[in-house]
Amino acid sequence: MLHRPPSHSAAIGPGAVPCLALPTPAALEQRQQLGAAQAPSCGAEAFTVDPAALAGGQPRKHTQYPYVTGTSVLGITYKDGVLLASDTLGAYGSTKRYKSFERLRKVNDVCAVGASGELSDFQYIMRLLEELSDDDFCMDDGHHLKPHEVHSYLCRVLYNRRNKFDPLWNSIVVGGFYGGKPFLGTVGMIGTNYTDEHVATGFGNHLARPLMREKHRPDMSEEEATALMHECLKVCYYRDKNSINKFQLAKVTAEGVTISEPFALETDWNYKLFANPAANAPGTW
Amino acid sequence: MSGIGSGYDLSTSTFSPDGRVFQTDYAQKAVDNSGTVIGIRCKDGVVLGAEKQLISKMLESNSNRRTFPVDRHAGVACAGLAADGRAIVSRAMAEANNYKSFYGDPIPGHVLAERLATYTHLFNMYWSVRPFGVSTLLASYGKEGPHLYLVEPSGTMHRYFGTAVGKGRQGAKNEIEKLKLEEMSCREGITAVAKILHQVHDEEKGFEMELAWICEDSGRQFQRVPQQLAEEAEAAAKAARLENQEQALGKLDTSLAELRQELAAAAAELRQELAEQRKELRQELAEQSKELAEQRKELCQELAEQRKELLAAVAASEARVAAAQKPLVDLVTAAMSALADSNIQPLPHAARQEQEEAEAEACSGSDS
Repeated sequence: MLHRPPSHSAAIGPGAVPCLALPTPAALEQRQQLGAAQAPSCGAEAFTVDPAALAGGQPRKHTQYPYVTGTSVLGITYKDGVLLASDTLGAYGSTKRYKSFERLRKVNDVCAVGASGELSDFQYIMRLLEELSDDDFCMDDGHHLKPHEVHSYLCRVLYNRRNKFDPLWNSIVVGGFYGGKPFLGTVGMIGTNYTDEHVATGFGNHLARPLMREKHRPDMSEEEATALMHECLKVCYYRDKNSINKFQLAKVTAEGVTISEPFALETDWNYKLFANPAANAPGTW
Repeated sequence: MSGIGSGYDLSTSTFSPDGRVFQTDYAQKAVDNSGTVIGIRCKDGVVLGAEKQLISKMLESNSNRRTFPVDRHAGVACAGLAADGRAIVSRAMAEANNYKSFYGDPIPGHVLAERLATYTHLFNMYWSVRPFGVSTLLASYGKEGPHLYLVEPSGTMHRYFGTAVGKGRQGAKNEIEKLKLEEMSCREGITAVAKILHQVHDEEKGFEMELAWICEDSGRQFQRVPQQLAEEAEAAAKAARLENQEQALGKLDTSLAELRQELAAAAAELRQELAEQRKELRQELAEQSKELAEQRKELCQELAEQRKELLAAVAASEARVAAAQKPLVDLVTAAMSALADSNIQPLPHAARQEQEEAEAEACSGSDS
């Protein structure tokens, strides 16, 4: 991130210029000096607790539970890159409230992220990432955030917010392709993180991961990987009530990031076990 | 308190009596001394081009940047003091960033230009600061389409179809006016800009060109023109310049030949005239010499006649003298002979004188 010290004011000296000549209001400047290295250069601080919310001496609660959420995000590596997949639902509780919410987003030419959990928090995270990549763009020196840097950054952000008792309620998948190697990592809402050849968030961790463990190989072709992804999505869709049959697939390769148009998968609900889901689970209903 | 400013050039917070702010004027001069920077707004985007004077032979190519992105959809090219330019750029980036975080939308070109102008203007109003020695060409491509702005050290801001600042601005502006910007695409624009930059560069020393654009080809992002395209444009510009020079040379050659022809004609004419004059003169000379000879002959004749006459006169007078002499001689001879006969001695001189005086006295006495 571009560090913007209060250059003009410091050089000119206090009081010599009107406050408008300062690049940012004095209050913001001071806050930046307190801020951590990963603080955005403008806008609200990422990691401080809003003092107003603590006015009553009580920790704030309204951000402590998700409202509009997305369900699982899946990711797998393959021979030439990484595939990420998710549906496009923003659920308000169990209401399928927003059906075209794009939960897979491009960060830069080598990296894409997908998020489940609170979608407003995801939008906020995307704003942080956009600011970072905008700064990279403005520096115009050919450098950009590598996938593992984006991953580490998000780990720090989410862990730091957890430490403020004001977590960002997301599980994030970071996929990228850099230096001829695919990168795939995930971050949980409290900063838990790991990288793997296949990852999934939420329900997907239970429903899709077993399939991936069984069928995934690092040297899969794109077709094989896509087929596996479709299968995983379908399984998730069959079992996860908070999902819809409208998916997106993000692909990160040496050529860059492409995020597909939303598509639906063919489903078959005539399985006998679907007719009587409790047959193999006595005691359920 | 002496010198051209008479003390009114010490601070931007003082007007001169005729209404100038000299420090601001001087800032503008700093811009006028820098390498030329051109901006044109084509039909599908904006092209910026900068002529970078080579500070040193050891300088890395592509350094000493003059064009800077300040957001994805906007960028600037700075003419003047590079360091002041950086300050402007970093402010522009901060403004763009701030607008985006506040409104969630990229900053529109006119807002960014206005904010930069306001910022620049602030440095013209306080004694403790100096104005920026920078003119900023701002290219943006937002919802309102492609726009080009110029922010000057005084804090003025205008939107242009095309403009130029720096050393070669006058020539460049003239060339820009000839372009049909409404019909020109950015692809053509970069070549046009490169041509103009090469045309207005009048020093022996080489320069580095920096081209940046924002258009559909660049994905509506402010970018330096891809190296390959920039190289093509530069090659075209160099070729055009060479062609121009050759044309000029050809013109010179033809005019030289014409001059030579004219000269030869003039020389021939002169020669002829000279020959004629010589002929005339010779003729005249011949006539004159003839005349002279005649005159001489005449004179000789006259002279001979006169001589003859004179000789005759002399002879005549001699004869007359002889004739006149004769009686005298005769008389003398007679007298002599008579004297000899009479034996009288001639009186000495003194006696003769006395005799004469006495005779004279006698004469005068008889008179009275």
